[in-house]
Amino acid sequence: MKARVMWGEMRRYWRPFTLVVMTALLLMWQLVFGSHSFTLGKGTDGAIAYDLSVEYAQRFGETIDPDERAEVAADYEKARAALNEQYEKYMGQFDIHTKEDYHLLSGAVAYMGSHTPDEWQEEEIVQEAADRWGADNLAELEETCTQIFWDKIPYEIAHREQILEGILGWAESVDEWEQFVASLPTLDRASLEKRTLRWEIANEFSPSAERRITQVMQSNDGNLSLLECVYDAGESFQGHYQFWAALTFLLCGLIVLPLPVGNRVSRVTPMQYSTHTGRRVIFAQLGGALLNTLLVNAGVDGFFTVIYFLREKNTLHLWHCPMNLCSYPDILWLDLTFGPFVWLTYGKALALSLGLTGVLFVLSHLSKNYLPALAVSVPTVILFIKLSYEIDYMLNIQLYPSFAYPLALLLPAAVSAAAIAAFVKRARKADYVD
Amino acid sequence: MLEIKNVSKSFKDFNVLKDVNLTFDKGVYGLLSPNGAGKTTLIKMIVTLLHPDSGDILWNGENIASLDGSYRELVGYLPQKFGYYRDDSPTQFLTYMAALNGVDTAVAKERCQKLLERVGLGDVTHKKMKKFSGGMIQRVGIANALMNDPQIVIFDEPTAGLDPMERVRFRHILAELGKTKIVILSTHIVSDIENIADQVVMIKDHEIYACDTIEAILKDHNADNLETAFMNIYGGEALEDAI
Repeated sequence: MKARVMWGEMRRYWRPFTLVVMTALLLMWQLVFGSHSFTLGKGTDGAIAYDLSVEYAQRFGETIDPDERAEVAADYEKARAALNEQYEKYMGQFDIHTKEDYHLLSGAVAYMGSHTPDEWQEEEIVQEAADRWGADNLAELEETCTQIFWDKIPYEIAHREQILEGILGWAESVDEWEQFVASLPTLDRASLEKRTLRWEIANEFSPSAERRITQVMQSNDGNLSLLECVYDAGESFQGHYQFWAALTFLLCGLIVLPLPVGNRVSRVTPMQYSTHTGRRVIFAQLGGALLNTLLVNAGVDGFFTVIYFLREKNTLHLWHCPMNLCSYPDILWLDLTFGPFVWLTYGKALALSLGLTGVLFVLSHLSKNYLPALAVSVPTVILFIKLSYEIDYMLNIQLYPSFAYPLALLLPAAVSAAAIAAFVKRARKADYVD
Repeated sequence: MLEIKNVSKSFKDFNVLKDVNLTFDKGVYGLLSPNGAGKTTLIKMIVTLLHPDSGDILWNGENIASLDGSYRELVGYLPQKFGYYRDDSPTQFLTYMAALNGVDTAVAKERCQKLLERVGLGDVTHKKMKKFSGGMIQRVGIANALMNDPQIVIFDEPTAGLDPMERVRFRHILAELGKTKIVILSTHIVSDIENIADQVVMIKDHEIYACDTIEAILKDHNADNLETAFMNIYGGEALEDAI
């Protein structure tokens, strides 16, 4: 099979109409799902948490005295007041003036969602909320306020209050504070400064700095307060990326599906089969489809990555943090740092989209017209999107044995390879009937 | 030399061709029969789109199934319904098909230009084919069948959509090709082959009824033209087809 034939087949998948639809979908996706990188995305939380932790550790050192504790408390009160100002500004009209008011409302609605109406009456938080805002109004009001929270209240203000609340908790006792400081990648101010500097160097992907950082974390049993944020960043990335992985599958379908069935409809297939290349053209078409799948993945991942990292500034900061050492030790079963975690997520989408391409290629070839091709392909794409979600669930929640993840990836690949092999064997020997 | 030996083909329980024996050497062969007699099935077996249930098709003594691509690169084929990419220009499509046929790029470009001029499309070589008339598309198909400089040229109902002038031009092309190649022209239009076929192959009741020169067929059926002979042979079958 000559490269010229392969290149010709690969190029043929790209029709002007397909390109227009793909670009439109890409932009539409960003418009519709782009904001989820913020609501789901807590990648910056970690950076803020880390920066604030380092800041306070540097300010007070390993020990904390009552005056210093009072300083932390005062800072927290300021942060709390700033946050409450935001609640007053945007939710005051709904009789929600403080963080506590909002938590009362959201707590009541959460309870109502998980309990029967009979139980509501016995729950104090629900009664209090009902007395204040009206029993019939709670869910709707909570939804409105949550939307306002994410849309209006600056994330930094909300999060600063939350982090300072945590730091104040550490500052409650000398022992706790020592533990807090020890959990940072330093034991004293000078070292902290040096190691903070190392983190900055690590951000520039200096291999030697990476090694040092890893050593530092290992020497501290990985007990770093910023590791929680690594998990958050991972969760954010994973949640946001799901939408983009779904787009990858859609685009692969959009590229692969029309050509084989289109060749049949426009009667090009018998023309191809009667040439020197003959039915081996299937291999060129399949190769072209798979190469295009790689291109689509690179394009979508590239676009997504740029958007994500532009939005979630400092996410690279977390690149080398081990994810399994965060404060959710039972959640992640893979011993990964955030960087490989990202690659794994990309790899999963790539593996699944290659499998999907193979299946769609066969389905398209076997279809005699566009409508039947669509009828079988749409559920297939949906199935792969669902599968992608399930695999992520396996990755993040330890409910399955560890072999389930590679198995879940291998299964579609095996099905795809088997479908292709059976199809090619049949297509190369069977009669071509219009 | 192309030999068809004891070839039969059926679809499910329907026998489309029974025990066909034919030998093709250089020259123009008219494959003539009413619709549905099995002409297209025979042609599809010659171009390897279909496989015989029994019997062999041999090229210079070797089975075409084993020759695979090296046989198909010797075949030029214009199917009954020519398939093409609507968004391609004739040049793009012909060079694409030439690539599938293993023709060198430079040779393909040169040959493409010459053939398009030869079929009267020299001034629209880069125009998208979706703007072409049925006759123009058919001429692209004729050019395509000749792109790989084939030894065996097969045209299945090639004159559909061609205007009278184009039919004349096409006949000239066929006559010239027949001097050096095997040209098989399948049609149910008698006048298409009357003036140019060296031999006529007639299929009746899914079997080869005759394979002879026009003169011999006319003599055998006591007719003064091929159309009369055709009506004598197929009678009601052909009339029904015509109606």
